Amino acid sequence: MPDGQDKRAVDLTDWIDQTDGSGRHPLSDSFDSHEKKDLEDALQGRNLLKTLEAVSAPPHFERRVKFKVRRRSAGRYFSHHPTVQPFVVSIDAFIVLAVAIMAACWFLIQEPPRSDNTFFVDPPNPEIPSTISPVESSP
Amino acid sequence: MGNSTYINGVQCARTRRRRISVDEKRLVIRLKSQEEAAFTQLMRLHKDRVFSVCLRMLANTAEAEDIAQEVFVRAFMSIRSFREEAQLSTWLYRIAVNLCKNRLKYHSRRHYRAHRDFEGLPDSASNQGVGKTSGESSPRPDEILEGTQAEARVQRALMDVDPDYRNLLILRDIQGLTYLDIMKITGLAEGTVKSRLHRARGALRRAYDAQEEMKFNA
Repeated sequence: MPDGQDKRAVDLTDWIDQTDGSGRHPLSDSFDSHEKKDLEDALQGRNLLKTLEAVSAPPHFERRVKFKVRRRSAGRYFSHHPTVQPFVVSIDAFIVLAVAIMAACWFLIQEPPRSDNTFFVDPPNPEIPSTISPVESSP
Repeated sequence: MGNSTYINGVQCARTRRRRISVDEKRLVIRLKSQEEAAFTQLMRLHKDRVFSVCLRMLANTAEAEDIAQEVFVRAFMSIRSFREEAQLSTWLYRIAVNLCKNRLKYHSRRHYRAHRDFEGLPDSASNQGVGKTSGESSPRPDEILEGTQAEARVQRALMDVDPDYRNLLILRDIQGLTYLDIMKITGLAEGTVKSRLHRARGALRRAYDAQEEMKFNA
């Protein structure tokens, strides 16, 4: 719990918040000169800040923030590069499709199998020499 | 002032909790999915207020810009840690206040007296004629100069106030936040906020009077 001075400060703050400074605090008659000065200073301090004009961020503010985000995210956000169009199919499906196409092409370029076995060629039969002598063969 | 309702001087409890609006909930969902358009919308909604807090805390345009930009960068990178217990603006203010305090501590450790832009604040609304009706003429140059100098004196006095007190003055009397929001930003109890605010207002007034005395004695 705030002490007595703090409680008085809280009460005065509430009163200042509700007033435009033209009225008198209901307990001001019981204030000593220090307390009256304190209240007056707080009221005028609040009013001083009301004289400050609103300020706006500079026109390049957003651009610079985006630049800093781009730099810190290594280009992941607010990149200047045009957005890449996403694939219609996923990468995995694309890989399977590519392998299937390659396999089909491989099969298509192969020569059709032949009916005769041309890989194995029998050597020509050697001539068998005749066993009948030329003399015996005349009538 | 703010969103509080007073009944016989007591702040009404029903107004103490401000619900997060449906629009803001949608924005938070989009931000958490790191949607860039949502982040742009966040900046457009809050950049002026965040920059204003930083400028009033630091009184240096370049540093205020740097810190304010850092607020949004950190918000984007750590949006997933936002727990939706408070409004987005409250969360941003908290980041801004903490970064400003860190910067001030850094300067004080190095005994660095940064250049203060007491005269070189960004063009204010009065200088640009914003908010004036069509029937009113633009302010004269001497009026603009007088306004600028008066504002510079107030800002100078604000910089003479302790940073913890200055913080409360900015959040309450310049930004117009409720005490509930200030409690969430600073982590202080309501009574502590109000008693410190009272002392801060008095300190500002005394600092301003001291500036005026120096001007006359110079």
